[in-house]
Amino acid sequence: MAESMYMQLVKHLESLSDRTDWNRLEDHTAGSIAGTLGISRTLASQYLNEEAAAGTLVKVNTRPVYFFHRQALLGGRREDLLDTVYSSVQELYAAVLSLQPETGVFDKLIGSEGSLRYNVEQCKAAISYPGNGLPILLWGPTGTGKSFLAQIMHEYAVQKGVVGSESRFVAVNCSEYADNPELFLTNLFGYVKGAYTGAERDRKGLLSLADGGVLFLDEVHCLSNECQEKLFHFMDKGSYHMVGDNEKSYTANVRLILATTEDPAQTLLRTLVRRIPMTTILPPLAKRSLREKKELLYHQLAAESVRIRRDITIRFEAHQMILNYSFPENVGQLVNCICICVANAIITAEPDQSLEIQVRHLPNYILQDHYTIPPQLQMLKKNVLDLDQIRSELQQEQKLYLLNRDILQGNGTIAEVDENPEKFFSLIQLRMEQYFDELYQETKNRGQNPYAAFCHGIVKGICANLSQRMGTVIQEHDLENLCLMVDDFLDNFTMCAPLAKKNEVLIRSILDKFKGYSSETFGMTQEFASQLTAGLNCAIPPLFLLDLNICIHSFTPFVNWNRTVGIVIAHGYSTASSIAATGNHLLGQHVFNAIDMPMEVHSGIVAAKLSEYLRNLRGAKDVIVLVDMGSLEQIYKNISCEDNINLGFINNLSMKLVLNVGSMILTDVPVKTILLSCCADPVQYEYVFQENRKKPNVILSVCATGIATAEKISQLFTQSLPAQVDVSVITYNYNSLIASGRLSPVFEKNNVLFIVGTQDPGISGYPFLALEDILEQRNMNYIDKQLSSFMSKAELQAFNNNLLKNFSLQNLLSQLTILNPEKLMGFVETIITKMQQGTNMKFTNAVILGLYIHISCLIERLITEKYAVNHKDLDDFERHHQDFISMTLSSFQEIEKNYGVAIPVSEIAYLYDYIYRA
Amino acid sequence: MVNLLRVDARLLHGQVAVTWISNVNASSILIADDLVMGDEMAKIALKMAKPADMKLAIRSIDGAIELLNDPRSKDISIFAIVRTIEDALRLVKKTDCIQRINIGGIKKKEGSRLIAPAVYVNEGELVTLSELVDLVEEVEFRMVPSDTPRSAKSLINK
Repeated sequence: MAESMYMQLVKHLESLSDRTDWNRLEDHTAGSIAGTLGISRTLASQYLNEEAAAGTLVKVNTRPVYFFHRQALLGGRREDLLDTVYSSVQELYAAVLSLQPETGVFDKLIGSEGSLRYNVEQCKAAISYPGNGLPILLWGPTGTGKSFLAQIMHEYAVQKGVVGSESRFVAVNCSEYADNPELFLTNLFGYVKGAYTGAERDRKGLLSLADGGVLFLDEVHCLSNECQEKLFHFMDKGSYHMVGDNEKSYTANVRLILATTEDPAQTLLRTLVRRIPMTTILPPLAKRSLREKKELLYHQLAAESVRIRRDITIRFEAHQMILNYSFPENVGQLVNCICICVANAIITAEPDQSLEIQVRHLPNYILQDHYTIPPQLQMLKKNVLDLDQIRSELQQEQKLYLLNRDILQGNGTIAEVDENPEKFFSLIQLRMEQYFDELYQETKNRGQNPYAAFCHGIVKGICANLSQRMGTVIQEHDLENLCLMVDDFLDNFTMCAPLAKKNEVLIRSILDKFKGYSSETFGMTQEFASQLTAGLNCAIPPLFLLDLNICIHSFTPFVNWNRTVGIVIAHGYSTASSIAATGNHLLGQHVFNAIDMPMEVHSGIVAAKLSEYLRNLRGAKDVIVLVDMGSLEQIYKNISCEDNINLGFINNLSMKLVLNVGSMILTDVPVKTILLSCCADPVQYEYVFQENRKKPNVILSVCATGIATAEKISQLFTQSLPAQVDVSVITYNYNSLIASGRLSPVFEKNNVLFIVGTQDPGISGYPFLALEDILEQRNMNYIDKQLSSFMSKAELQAFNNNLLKNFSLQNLLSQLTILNPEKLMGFVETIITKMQQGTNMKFTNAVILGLYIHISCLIERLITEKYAVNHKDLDDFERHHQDFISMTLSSFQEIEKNYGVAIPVSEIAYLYDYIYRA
Repeated sequence: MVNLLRVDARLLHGQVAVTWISNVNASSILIADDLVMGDEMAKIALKMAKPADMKLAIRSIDGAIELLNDPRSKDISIFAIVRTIEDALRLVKKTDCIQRINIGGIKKKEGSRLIAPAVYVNEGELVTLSELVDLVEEVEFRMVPSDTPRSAKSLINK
């Protein structure tokens, strides 16, 4: 069979993109591709855009538009990490580079996976950019590693093969020429004999030396304006004159790296800055993570140890003091500091023994910065660290990384998020337990640093606040874990940054699922994260939010989010608190919170306190307030209650009442019933009930085969209910519905209209609608009756149409390979409507579903394969059904125009057969 | 007795229901697929695609094997549908009532190529296909009955 145009087009691009020639991008335009394949430009463009939308191709939205074959760009690896559309070729190029297998030269740059990650990406892109690379400016304070980075860039270019292995790295420190621009120019460009006194023969310049390699101009802000001008003339033309000869011009292919400590906008000529397309800003050491500082320290100690050929150990205090010092002159100063330490230690050390760095060996600037050593440090047993210990500490610290790696990539656990979230959590929580054990061990061994204690204080504060507000209690053990995890995050999360970047999309989708699975846990996680951000002044990245969510989810067995909240209010400084505490203790769970009411405090203030508390309760809640004698009326009249809370008051607070109410709350007895049963004896108790909460209208979606299907049904309904209909759909666990029947709290909190699903859970009083029946239009009287209780006739019609369309869409998703199902469905919907009008028939839902799927797949087949089926009675059909044919053709007009396909008569004949015979 | 076993990634859909059913002359449809078994929504869609006068059974592959090997199935004329060539081979190997196989549609995937209308296969499937060809009387490619059938034997040997 002849290969379709479609395949040819993809193949052509595949071969082009395999070894993309970034200097010949014109081959990647629709025009050029159309020319090669001998088709019209419009057609080629349409195919290309379809394929790009389907993800086979990557598109660069410039003028002209370029197309690349996704897989071939990266040789079939990691291509799913490319975006579909890029706004410039440079952007695509940088993305491709960052995804290509690494040569590893940047690995020796500490922080290349952490705080310098973005810098490294920019450097890679600049140095290997087609042509002569892009000139790049490294901007950062002194000692941040600009020269080192420049050297690595050269090595990288050699390994990537963009410069020859013999090529040179020529470094020029421009500050040496600050007062002597002429010398700079002669050195840079070279001079000819007689250019100045003493120039006795021609001499080549640094540019010529660097030809084919890299020229690094450090401290470029020191160059005079004249030198800067000459420099950008060279950057523009790629050619230069030697000093003393304005006739002959020389060329040099040089990759330029410039570096400066000063703001380029202030110190460089604007004309020069404009010619530097990329600037990368290197962070000062103080802005980098503690972990990277530790790594730098270790690395430098190890290097010194090799240099002096002696083992080096360091006293713990000295180690900490170095880490605590801010190093205003950055990595350079840290390196220098270690040199000084080693030099000082050598003077006092016994020969041939290992060198111990002590506090007194530290440079003065550190000693002057520290007048006292924090007492905690002196208590530590381990006072001397050798290099192995420091290194192993560095490795152990990657626990959080290992945990996250396992969460995101471990043995298919992630797949369970969809199918069986409960199982997912239990698997991951096992892994997290292990993580907490490791953390705990480590902290025990290392002791806690003062900053950690500070963090713990903040974490505990946030938790106390949250648990108060949500009427929950967090176990001490869980709290400890949370603290450890936050510590670890602050110290070591940079290790996870590459992982987070790589799995960005996955992480976001998991978070979405968490949100759908338990919005309460997710809400609490978010709340926690936002308070943590405020408290510790650090942003919480999505990956750590995910960790927190898993951790907090493990609390939930102790917590019932939907439970009625009990509040005790009593006169006396701590009467209410002690009653609540005793009650909670006896009940075995935290049920009651207390509001103390000192004798002299006006009841209005207590009411205000209670109002404040109620305002902070999230979501719909039931609250029951127990007050002591005499306060009831004054309080409840002054309550400004949120309108979603049902508020019950009982007076004559006693321990017996607390236990009685508490045990009913624990067994999910509705507030109203609690009030009634407590106040059966009106002499003893009185109650007031404010029913403020309007129960929302809901449809319950359940499925015996699992929550995933119920979730799908719920989605289907939610998408299909007309916007103006005020009904929401709740997914509910089938088994727990069967177990608690009508007593399920969901019935008390909501006005359940009916239950929808695949199998009747048989809850008396609540009608059940089978999804199958609704779709197949069976039992229509019954179904319409249920639905029309909250929908008008027009809404009902819209609902049915939407339901069928969305259901077809769900089924179509797995069928189509290249076309966008949502978009296509829109067209097919019009076709079906027109065909019903044209035939003057009302198709059944089954026929409509069949047509949705058949027509969608037909369009894709006509586009991808250009194949139409045969029909055995075609002549006959054409003779007798001209009306149907022309009606169909006119119904298909839109889709034919949009997708550039024509529907053959044989396919129309099948549509006819389908509509009239099915 | 299985009158025809069809391989179709979309299993039972409108066109198949209308064209093949009348052509195959079966009284029951058997869909054998492990994926569909766990997907209530897909099951509903399949039930909706079925012509009113036909019986429909949806089984896992193992369930289908059991059903086909049940002596009571001998007298029923069955039109069986599976999603993939591998599934077809599993059925053929474990039962002895399948002799005619029609391949109507296999989804495009990594490393696959188009060998007949709507049929994309990769190397592995080609091997499975040739194994299948040796086991039954007839394996053909055809989307609808009115198309000209192309024998798998001739296609493979090319």
